[in-house]
Amino acid sequence: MKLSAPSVTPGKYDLVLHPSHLFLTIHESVGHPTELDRALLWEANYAGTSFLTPDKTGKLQFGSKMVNFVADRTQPQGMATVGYDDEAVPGQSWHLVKDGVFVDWQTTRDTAKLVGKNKSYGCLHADSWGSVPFPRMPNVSLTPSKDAVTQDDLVAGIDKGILIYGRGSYSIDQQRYNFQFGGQTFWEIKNGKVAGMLRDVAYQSRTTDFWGSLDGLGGQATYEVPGSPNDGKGEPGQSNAVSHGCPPARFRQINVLNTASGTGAGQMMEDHE
Amino acid sequence: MLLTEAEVKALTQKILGMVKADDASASVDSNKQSHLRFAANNVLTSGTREGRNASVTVWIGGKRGSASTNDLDDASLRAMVDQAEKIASTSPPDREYVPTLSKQTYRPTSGYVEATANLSLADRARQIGAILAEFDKAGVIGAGFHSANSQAGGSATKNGNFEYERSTGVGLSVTARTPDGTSSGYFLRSHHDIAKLDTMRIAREAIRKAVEGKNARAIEPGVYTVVLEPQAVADLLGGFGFGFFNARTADEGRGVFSALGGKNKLGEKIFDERITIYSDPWNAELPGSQSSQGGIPAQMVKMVENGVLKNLVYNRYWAQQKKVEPTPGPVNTIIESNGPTQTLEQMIASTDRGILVGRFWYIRQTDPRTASSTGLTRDGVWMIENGKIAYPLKNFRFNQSTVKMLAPGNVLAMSKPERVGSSEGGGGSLLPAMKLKEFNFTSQSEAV
Repeated sequence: MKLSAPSVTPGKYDLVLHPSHLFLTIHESVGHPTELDRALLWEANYAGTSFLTPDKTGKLQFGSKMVNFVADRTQPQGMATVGYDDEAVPGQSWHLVKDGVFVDWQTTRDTAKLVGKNKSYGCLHADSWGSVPFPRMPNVSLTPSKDAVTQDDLVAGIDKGILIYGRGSYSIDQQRYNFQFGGQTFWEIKNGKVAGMLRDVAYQSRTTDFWGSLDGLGGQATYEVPGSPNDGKGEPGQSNAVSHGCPPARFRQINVLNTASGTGAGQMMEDHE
Repeated sequence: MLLTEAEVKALTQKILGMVKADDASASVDSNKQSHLRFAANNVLTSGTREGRNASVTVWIGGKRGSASTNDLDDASLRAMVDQAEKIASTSPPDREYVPTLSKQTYRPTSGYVEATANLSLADRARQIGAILAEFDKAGVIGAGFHSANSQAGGSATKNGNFEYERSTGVGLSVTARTPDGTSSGYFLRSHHDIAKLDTMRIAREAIRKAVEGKNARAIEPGVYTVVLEPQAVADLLGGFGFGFFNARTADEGRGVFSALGGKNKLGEKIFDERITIYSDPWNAELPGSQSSQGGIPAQMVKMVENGVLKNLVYNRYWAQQKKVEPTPGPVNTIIESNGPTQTLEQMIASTDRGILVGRFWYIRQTDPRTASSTGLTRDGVWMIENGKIAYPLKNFRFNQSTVKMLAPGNVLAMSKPERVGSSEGGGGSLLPAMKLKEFNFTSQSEAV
């Protein structure tokens, strides 16, 4: 079915992203830019810095008002859940983005004081006896709707869209503005219903534009906690396991391109300056 | 301390002596890794780590089991072998089992340098100290990573093969940023011989790019002529090797070298006729391993010659299926021009309008059938106008097929190759700067 599916026509589409796909979008576009060591330029030589800076804390509109991201080292089923971190700081839960506004960072005992905090959120971790402990990502999860919204409800609000499952090719710049993400399976949405399968789909956007376009979240019953066991960071490179709980979510008018063309055909040439 | 050949031989024989299975391969390796990491004009972390590992793979009635340990005493090795045999006894048949190699003859390469293995930590500290001073002098905020590694190890098979090899590596990458965060420069070099690593050159190039990259302009993305520095070529093509030229991927219709009807494109002219891509274990500037694909004695292998796909990589199983010899490589990647070369400066001077790219980042494959990938420019992009660098540019995202990029008619010029490593990791390659007629920049990124 995947092989015989029609190749996507590039353009703007509404997207419904299933948790099996959305978790990695959260990881790349929310988890990494809220790492404080990146904003302090400690990762400038490899992973990169961040479009978020301390002066934007509490001010920057990260997404729509429906968007809440909670960092949580106590989350059930979370792969970054711990009793204590490598500095013996207890696992905690705190908002990174609240009602769409960027409000806080992932911190360690070294870095917390640099943004005016008097205690660490407990994000120090080494991946082995022979590695230097350094700031690593907690579980960062998207809060579901308080209402009993289903994935079908999200799809029903779309005339022309694509439903995406699974992780595919993920690429994002060193400050986490511009990303292009693919998936495993793609389903065309027509007039509020899932139609046939599509292939060769990727979407490209800018982090705050993307999260600003979110206008629908699934409810608690749709919430899943997918994760990745191998999040690479640092020099020498270390690996961290981390989860990103989320419901399916709906995004409006996102640029979709065709990956089979070999040229990124259909990618919108927008100037974000 | 790295293990000697006699020690590795004794340990692998001891492991094989414990094996009751029909066939087995045992490996033992030792390694030392040291680093100094710096950021925000200060030292961030440093350390040295040494390790030893053993592993064994056994086959019992065609069923495979593997286990490993980092403790080399007799009891740990015994436990490892027992575990592997237990796993094999409960596994399904290994449908791709090929008997382990009998005695092979290896021609050693020159990838081990004592001075790299035993680098002076005081010398490293002095060199990084000088770089930090250079950051202050230039008024930039700098970061970087100096690392060295050495390894020695080998393997033995139940069918009589034994090999032992040592290698070293050292590298330095430096990023310089202007204090206002509007410009960033990067430079990376690595080598097996620490005497060939010019640390101050690396720092000065990164600083120069940061300083000259200020006041970058945004232009429309689109299709442009590009001049790619060797670093940018390494980021895009440095991973050419087993995966890219995999015969099975091609034969099974999953790759860019697949042809209809379960065939592949061996013998077809796919690339510009000036392009030759090959692997040479004995290249003095880029020594490779003496063995490839788990023990086959490595040989020079031309993957592409004069633009023609000359070889695909057959592992021992797939070679048996296709009734061909397994491929003795690749163990490194060398791309060079068969024709006249140009310097980077000559490429710029001959360009009326184009873009100079110093580096690519976060490159991910989007379509294996067209060898397409996406990624971004990073740490230095410049507009070329009328044969001169006119002004710095803001970064772009690209979507590009690497095969189309190197296709006949699209390669306008190549330089002599130089040793450079991919900035996303991986070993070194010998790669040229390239001037390409068309390259697809598909959106802008405001990232610095």
